[in-house]
Amino acid sequence: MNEFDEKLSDWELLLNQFLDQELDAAGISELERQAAEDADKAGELAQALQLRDALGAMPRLSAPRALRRKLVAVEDAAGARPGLGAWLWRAAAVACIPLLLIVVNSGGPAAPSDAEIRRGQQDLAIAFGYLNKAGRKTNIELGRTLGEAMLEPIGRNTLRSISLEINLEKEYLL
Amino acid sequence: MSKNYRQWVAQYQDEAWSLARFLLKDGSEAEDATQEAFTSLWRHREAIAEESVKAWLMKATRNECFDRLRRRRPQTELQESHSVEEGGPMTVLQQGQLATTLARAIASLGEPYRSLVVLRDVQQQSYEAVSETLNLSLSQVKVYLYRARKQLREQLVELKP
Repeated sequence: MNEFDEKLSDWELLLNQFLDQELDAAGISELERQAAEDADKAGELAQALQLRDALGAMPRLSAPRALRRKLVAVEDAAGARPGLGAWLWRAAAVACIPLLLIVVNSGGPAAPSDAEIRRGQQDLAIAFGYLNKAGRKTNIELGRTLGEAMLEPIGRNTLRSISLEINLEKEYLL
Repeated sequence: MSKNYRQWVAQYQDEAWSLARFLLKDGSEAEDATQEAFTSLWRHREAIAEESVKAWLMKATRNECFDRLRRRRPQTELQESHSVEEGGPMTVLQQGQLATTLARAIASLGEPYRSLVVLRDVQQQSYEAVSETLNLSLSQVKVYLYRARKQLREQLVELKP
């Protein structure tokens, strides 16, 4: 892959294998033998032991649960299933039908017939059905992606603050 | 494919997030970086061989972290490189003083040493997987890992309370 000539010495290889916990009994004996003959190597081995203990004490970190929800939502948002946008477009398209009927019929002086009115009412009922479904879908998506707290954005604090009267005199004093 | 994606989330989210957390030293930013990496994985899923998914994802996570680090002010990064985030990995590691000291030492390593230690020693990935993620040869991984561990050993002695 790359030109890389640097190689580890036998001692460095032994230390790496020791920390990888891949040294067999013969390898450990060799490591101890070399450490016994050289004070610097003995110091390095002591540090390696300390490092191995510290690595063993490191707990495995787990990703927060909220992250998993967000990661799964990536798939939904990317369009594996009909997304929220598609639902809204469908609802909007159906909702336009009665409007179109009104526009088309507005050209003539004649009042709509009973049949046309019934048809318009049916179209409206269907359109509101789609809008309701889109609304429910929106709530589910909001809950999944932003958390439950976003489902009721207007809380007690907001209601309290908008119910307070504004003291204009205080504003002038400032 | 959709089923695969959910499996990948279940299998790799912890490793991707913990790498991001060690690199960024910020929990919420690590979540954002992980989410970006998984979004990218979703977009490219058709082009990635199943056996390369993990390495691809870890590489994407690492690149996303580096982009974010580059966007940070240099001064901020300099200050953070030797600090310990409250509520971050260090806090979790306080169950062992030694582990806390080690986490601090890992956080102060430069690249690619920090990623090497996280992938190999903390997450215990194979040399081959580390090599693929970091685009390094096996011999480079071994030599750099030796250097990283040597720095860690020396820092453990210095930082030991």
